[in-house]
Amino acid sequence: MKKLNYEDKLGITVYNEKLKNGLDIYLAPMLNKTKYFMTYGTYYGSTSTHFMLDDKEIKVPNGTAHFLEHKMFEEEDKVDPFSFYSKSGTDCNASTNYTSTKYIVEGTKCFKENLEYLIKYVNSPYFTNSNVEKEKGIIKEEIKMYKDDPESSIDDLIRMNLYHKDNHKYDVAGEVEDINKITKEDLYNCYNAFYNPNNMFLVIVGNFDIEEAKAVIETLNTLENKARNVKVINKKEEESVVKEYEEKKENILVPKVLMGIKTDIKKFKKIDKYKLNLYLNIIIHINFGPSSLLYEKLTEDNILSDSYSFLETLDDIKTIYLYGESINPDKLIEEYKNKIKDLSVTQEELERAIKIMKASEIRMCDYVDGVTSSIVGDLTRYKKVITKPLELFDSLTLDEMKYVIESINKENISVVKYMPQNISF
Amino acid sequence: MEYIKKNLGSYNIHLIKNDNFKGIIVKVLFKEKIKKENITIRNFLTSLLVYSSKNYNTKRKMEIERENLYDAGIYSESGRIGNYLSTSISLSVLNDNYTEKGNFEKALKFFSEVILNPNVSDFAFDEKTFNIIMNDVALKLTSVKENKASYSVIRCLEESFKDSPIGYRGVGYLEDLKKITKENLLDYYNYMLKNDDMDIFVIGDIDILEMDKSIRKYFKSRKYKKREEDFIIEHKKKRLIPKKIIEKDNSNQSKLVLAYKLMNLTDFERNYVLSLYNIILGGGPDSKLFKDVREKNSLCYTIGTNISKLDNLMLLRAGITRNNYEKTLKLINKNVKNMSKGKFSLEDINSAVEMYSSSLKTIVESEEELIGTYYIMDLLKTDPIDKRLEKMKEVTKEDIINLSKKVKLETIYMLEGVK
Repeated sequence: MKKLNYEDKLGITVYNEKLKNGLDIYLAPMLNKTKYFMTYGTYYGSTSTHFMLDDKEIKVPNGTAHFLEHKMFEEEDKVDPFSFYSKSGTDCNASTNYTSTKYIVEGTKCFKENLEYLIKYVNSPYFTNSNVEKEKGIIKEEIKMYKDDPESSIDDLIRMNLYHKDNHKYDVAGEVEDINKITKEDLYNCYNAFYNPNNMFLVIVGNFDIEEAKAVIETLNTLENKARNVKVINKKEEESVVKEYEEKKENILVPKVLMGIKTDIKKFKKIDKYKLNLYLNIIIHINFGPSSLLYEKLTEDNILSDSYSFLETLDDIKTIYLYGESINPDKLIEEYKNKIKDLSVTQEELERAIKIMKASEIRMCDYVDGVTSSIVGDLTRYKKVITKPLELFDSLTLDEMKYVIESINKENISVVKYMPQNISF
Repeated sequence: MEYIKKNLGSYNIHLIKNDNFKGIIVKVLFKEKIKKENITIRNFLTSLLVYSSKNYNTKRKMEIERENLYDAGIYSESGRIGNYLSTSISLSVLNDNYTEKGNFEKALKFFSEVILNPNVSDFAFDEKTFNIIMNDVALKLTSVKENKASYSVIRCLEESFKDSPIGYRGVGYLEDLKKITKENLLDYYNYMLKNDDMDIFVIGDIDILEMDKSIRKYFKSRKYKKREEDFIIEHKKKRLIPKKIIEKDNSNQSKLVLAYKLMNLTDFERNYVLSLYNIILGGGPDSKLFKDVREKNSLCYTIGTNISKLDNLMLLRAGITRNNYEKTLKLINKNVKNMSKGKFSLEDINSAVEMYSSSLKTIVESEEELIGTYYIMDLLKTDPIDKRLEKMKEVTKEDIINLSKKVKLETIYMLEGVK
C-alpha cells in the first residue's frame, strides 16, 4: 500500500492500493476517533440504463440502480445486513445518485467481521421474483414522499426542461410506472455489468487496525470481474435547453423559482476540471451568496427569502442551479437573469473565497464523516483523490476566473416557477 | 479531554479541552420558562441577532467580516427543552494554529458584539433589519404546511396537548408575529439578557486559564440570579379511547402520526429502559415496526418511533398510502402490544444495548454533541457518560415489559394525501 502525500495542515494519513482486479482501496486511520466508517461503492448510478454487457445490448427502466441498491439488502439465508450489524451496534445504509451507488457501515467495534460482511453481502446478490415484487410497494412510497417535497419536485421538473437526452433528465428513483416494469433479470444484468471490482472502490476511515484491514483486503484479490466488457451507451447532450420557461401551480404556500444555466463543457476547455468546479462555486458565492450586493438588495426589497445553489456535471454539460423562494418570483427571475449577464469577482473577493475554502477543508478533516465524504466525493467526481487541496486553492487566479465567467453560456437558461394553488398573502 | 464548570453567579462557564479538534466552538445558551406568547418573538430575536450588529449594521458587512476571519461560523437556534425555551448562539472558528495569531480573539470579540451590541438606536432595533427578518419569518410561518412530515407532527401534538407546552408550535404563530414591533422586541431582548439563565460553553484545543479570562473579558458578569429548574413535563390524565383525527391535504402520500403518553416513569425507566424499548420497537431498520410494516408488508418507506424524555412522550410516524390506513394501524397496534406481551428476545435487548453503547462512544466525535450532553447532564443531573453503559446493562426484559404498560396511545393523526 502506498502512503498518499496529503498536506500536513490537514492532519490526515491516507493509504491507497489498486488491486490487480481493479478494486481501488483507500484507508485513512484516525486513531484519536472512536468510530470507523466504511464505504463500498460502485461507479454506477441511475443514468446507466442502456449498455453493452459483453456482446449483449441491455436496456433497463429508469430507477433500476436505486431498486438494485434496495435489493442488495436481501440475503439468501434470511439474515439481512440490518440484523447482522445491529448485533454489534453498527449502523448500515446505502445510497444511490446519478453516477454512483454506495454501501456504508458505521461502527465502533467488530471491525474485521463487519468489513468481511460488507464485502460478502455486496458481492452476493439474491434476487427472486417475489422479493423484487415485495420491494415495489416500499419504493413507490419513497417516490411519493419525494413528490410531496416541493424542492425535490421542482428539481425533477427543471431537469425535464434542461436536458434533451442525458439521463440526468430523470429522477434517480424513477417513476412509479418505471418501478412496475423492473424485473429480477434487469437487476442481475446491472449487477453483473457494474458490480465488478474494476468498477468499484472501498474507503475506510476512522479508528481501525490497519493490519486487520489489510488482511481482509488480501482476500479481495480473489474477486473476479463477472463481465469481460461493459460499455455504457450515452447519448450526446446538446447545449440548448428543452424549454426556457415553465410555470406550474402546486400544493405550496410560498412561490419558488429554480433556474438552470447550461453550458457546453468544451467552452471551459482551458481550465482543468478540478479548478473549474472551484471557480464556478466562487462565482456563485460571490455574486449570489449572503455576502453579495445582490443578496443584500433582494432581501431588503423583500424579493428573496430562502435560497441555495449547486453545480452539476454531465459528460458534455456543466449546469449551474439557482434556487430561491419569493413572494415576487418574477422580479427574482429578472434580477437573477440580469446578474448572470453581469458576473464579476475581484481580487479581494477571490482571496476571501480561498480563505473560506481552506478553513472548510481543514475543519472537515477533524471528522470521520468529513474525511470520508472528501475521499468518496473526489472519487465519484474524478475517480481519483486530490491530496493537495490547499495548494489547488492557492493556484486559482483572477485571469482564469475571468475566462470562466466569459465562457458561461449566459443566455442559455431554463426557469421553473412554482406558484401556490391559492394565493394567501 | 478535560471538563471544567465555573459558576459566576450570573452565568456558568463550561470549558471542554479536547485536542482532537482543529476548531473552537463557543456556544452561549439562554433559557427561560416557556410561555406560549414568547415563542414567536424569541424566534424572531434569534434570527435578528445574528443578522447584523451595531458595528456591522448589514448582513453583508457581517458576512464579509465573518469570512475574513477564516469563515468563522455564527449561527443561532431556538427550541424547547421540556418546560423551557432555549436559545443558543454559537461561534465556530479554526484555532490560530491553522489561521493566524489573534484570529480567535478577533472572532470572539466580533461574536460578543453580535450578542451584546446589537443594531439598536433610539430605543428600537434597526428598522431595515427588522423588516427583513419580519418578511422572512412571515414566509416561514406561511409555508409551514409545505413540509408534510413536520407539519403532521405539529398538528398531532397540537390536537393531543392543547394546554401543554408539548402542543405549542415551536416555529411560532402568525398572529403573534403581527404584534412584534422594533420597540417591544428591544424590550424582550433586554428582558432576556437580564432574566434568562445563561451558560457559555467553549470546546476545542484550548488553554483553560486563558480561555476563562477571554470569556470573562467579553461577557461581563451580570446580576446574580437564582435558578429554578423544573424541566420534565408529567401527564396527569390519559385517554381511555385514543382521539382519531384525519385532515385532508392535496399530497401524494399520507402521514400517519401516533402520540403516546408515558405515564409515571421512574428516572431509571426514563433514562435507560425507555431507550431500549424505543430502539427495539421503532428505533431503526432492525426494529419490530420496520421489519413488519415495511419489510414484510411493504406498506411504507419510512416508519419509526422517537422519544422525548422531558415530555414523557413517544411519537410513532409512518408515510403510507391512504387506502392502507386501517391495515397499517392494525399492524402498528399489534407490534406495540407485542412489546407488553414480552414478544421480543434477549438478542433484541442485546442489540439495543449495543446500539446505545455505540451512540455513547461516538459522542466525543462531535463538539456539538459533547456540548449538548454536558449541558443536559448539568441541567438534569443525569449520570456521567462513563457510568451510563453499566446502568443500561442492568435493564432486564421484565423492566421493558413493565415500561411498555405505561405507554398509552393518546392520538392517532393522519394527514391524508388525497392526490
